[in-house]
Amino acid sequence: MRSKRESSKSFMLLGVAFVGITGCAHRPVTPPSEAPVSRAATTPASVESARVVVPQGSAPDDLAALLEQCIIHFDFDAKRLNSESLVRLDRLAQALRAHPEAKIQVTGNCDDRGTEEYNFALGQERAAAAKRYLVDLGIASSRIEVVSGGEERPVDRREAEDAWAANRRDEFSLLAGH
Amino acid sequence: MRAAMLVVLLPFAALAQAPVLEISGANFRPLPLAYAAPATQDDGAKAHARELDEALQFDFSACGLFQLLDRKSFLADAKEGVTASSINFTNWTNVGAEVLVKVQLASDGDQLKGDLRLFSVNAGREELKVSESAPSKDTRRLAHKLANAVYKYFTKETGPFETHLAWTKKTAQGKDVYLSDWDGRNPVPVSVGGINTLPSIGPAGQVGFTSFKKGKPDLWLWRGGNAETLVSSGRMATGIAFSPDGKRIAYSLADGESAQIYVANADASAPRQLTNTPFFINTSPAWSPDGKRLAFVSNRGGTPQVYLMSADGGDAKRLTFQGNYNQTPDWSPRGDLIAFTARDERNAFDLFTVNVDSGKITRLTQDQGNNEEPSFSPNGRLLVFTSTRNGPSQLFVMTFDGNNQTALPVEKGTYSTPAWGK
Repeated sequence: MRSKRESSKSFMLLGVAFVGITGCAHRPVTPPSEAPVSRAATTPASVESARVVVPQGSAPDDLAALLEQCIIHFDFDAKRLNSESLVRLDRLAQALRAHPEAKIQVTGNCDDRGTEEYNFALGQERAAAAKRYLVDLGIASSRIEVVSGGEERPVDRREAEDAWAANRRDEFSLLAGH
Repeated sequence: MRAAMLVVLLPFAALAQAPVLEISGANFRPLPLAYAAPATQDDGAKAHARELDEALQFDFSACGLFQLLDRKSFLADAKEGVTASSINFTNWTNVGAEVLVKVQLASDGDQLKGDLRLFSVNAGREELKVSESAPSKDTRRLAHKLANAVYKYFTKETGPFETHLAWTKKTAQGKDVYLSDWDGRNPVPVSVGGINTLPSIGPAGQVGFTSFKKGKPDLWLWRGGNAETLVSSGRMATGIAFSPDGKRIAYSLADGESAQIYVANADASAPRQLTNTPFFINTSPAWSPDGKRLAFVSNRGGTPQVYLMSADGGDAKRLTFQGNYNQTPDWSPRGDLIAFTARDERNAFDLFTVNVDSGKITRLTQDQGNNEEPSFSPNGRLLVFTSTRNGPSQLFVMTFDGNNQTALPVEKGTYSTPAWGK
C-alpha cells in the first residue's frame, strides 16, 4: 500500500501527463439512479475530473497510481454507474489500452448499513458493473478480476452520511505480476 | 398450520386438569419466580457459587418463561433451609412468588455438584428435585444443566441453555468468528485474523463461515479445532447454511455479476444452481426444518425481499410484500415463522417475523437502535440478534414474538451475524 503522500505525488505527475483523453467519446450516460437515501452523498476528492489524461506508454507505476486514484461511488443499495463514474472509467479504459499487458482487480464495497451477506452480493455487483463497462469499451474480460469486499473494508468507520457515501465504492488495483 | 404456542403446564394444582399457560398470545404471563442465592456446603463450593449463581440468574431471566423476582425484595432469612418443611412460604407469597427455586452446591474433588429444588409457593410443596454435576472449571455448564431441568419441567421441551451460538467480533482489521455457550460466554475461536464472518452451526456442531483468507470470500468449515476451505470456486461464495439433516449445504455464489443460490452435498460436491437471475441478487439461503424448502433474499422485483423455493429448485414465490428492504431470513425450527431484518419507513433496521402460510407480518423490535440478523434457537422459542440500542452492535436474545429483549453478558465489543445451533 502506498502512503497518502506517495499517492498524491504520483497523482500530480499523472496530472501533468494526462492531457488529451478527456475529449474521447463517452458512451450514452445512464440516468442517475433514484437513490432511496443519501441525497447528501458527496464524492470525496479522488481523480479531479477533466484536467488529467494518460499518456500512451507511460510507466506501469503510473498505471498503478491511476488505478489507486480511480475510485467510483454509488448510491445506497445501487450498482448503477453515474456520469462521473463513467468519465473515470473511460479514462481508465484508455490507460488500460496503453498498457495491454496489465491485469487489474476491481473491488466492490458497501457501507455498513444493511446486512452483511446482502452487502457481499451488492459489492460483487458494483465491481462487476465497472468491469462490464470496461469490457464494453473493448478491454478484454480476462484482464479484469472482480472481488466483493462487502461492507468489510470501510475507508471511513464513522456512522454518518458522508462516511457511508465514501464507503460505497469500487476500488481498482494492479494485479500482482503485471 | 402449527400454532406457535408454547403450552406451559402448571402441575401445581392437585386437580387432574392442570392450569395451562400459553407462552404466546394474550394469555401468556411470565411466571413470577424467586430464586434464592445458592447455599454452599464447603469452601470448594463457595469458590464457584457466584459464577453458578450469575449463570443461573441469567438463564432464568433471559429465557422468557419467568419473571425473575429481585432478591433485594426477599423477606425470607438468607439462611432459610432448602426443604419444604423448613421454608416459610408466606414470606415468598408476600413477595409475589409463585415458584421458588433453591440450590445447594457442594464440591467433590474437581467436581461440583448442584441440587436444585423447585417449590410451588401457593401449595407449599416441593415439585421438582434434580441433582447435576460438572467439573468445577465448567461451573456455568452445571448452571445450564440445572436451568434446563426447570425449563423441561414447565414446558416438556428441551431448553436452550446447553445450545451454542456462533458469532463474529470486530477487530482493528477485520472480524473473528467464535463459538460460544448460549449466553455468549466461553467463546472458542473458530477463525481469527483477517475477515471472517457469517458463521452457521451444523447439526454435528461443525461451524461453517465465510472468510477472505484466500483474498476473496470463500466458504470454510471448522470441525474439532481445524478449519479448511469448503467452497472456493467462483468469485464469491458466502453464507453457508446446513440442511437440518446435515447432508446438504446451501450458499450464495457469484460466478459472474450476480450472486445465485446453490445447493450441494455436505462436502460441497455436486453443486446445483437453483436460481438464475443474471442481473439480480440471490443470497442468504435458510432451510425449512423439513429440509424441503429454502427461504432466501432476492432483489429480482426491484428491492430485496424474502422468497421461498423448493430445495430442489423450481419457481420461487415471493413471501414479503411490505417494505423495500427485507433480508436475512431465518426459518423457525417449528416451521411456521420466518424471522428477518427489515429497513423501516424511518430507515431504521428492525426485526419482524412473517408467517409462512398466511404471510402475516409481526413486528418484534422498534425504536431501539438498529436490530439485525435474527437466528432462532433450536427449540424455536427464542431469537438471538444484534442491536445497536446501547452503542456498538451487541448480542441480544428475545422470545420469538419479541418479548423479554435481553443483552448477552459478553465482553465489550462490536458483534455481528449471530447464528444459533445445537
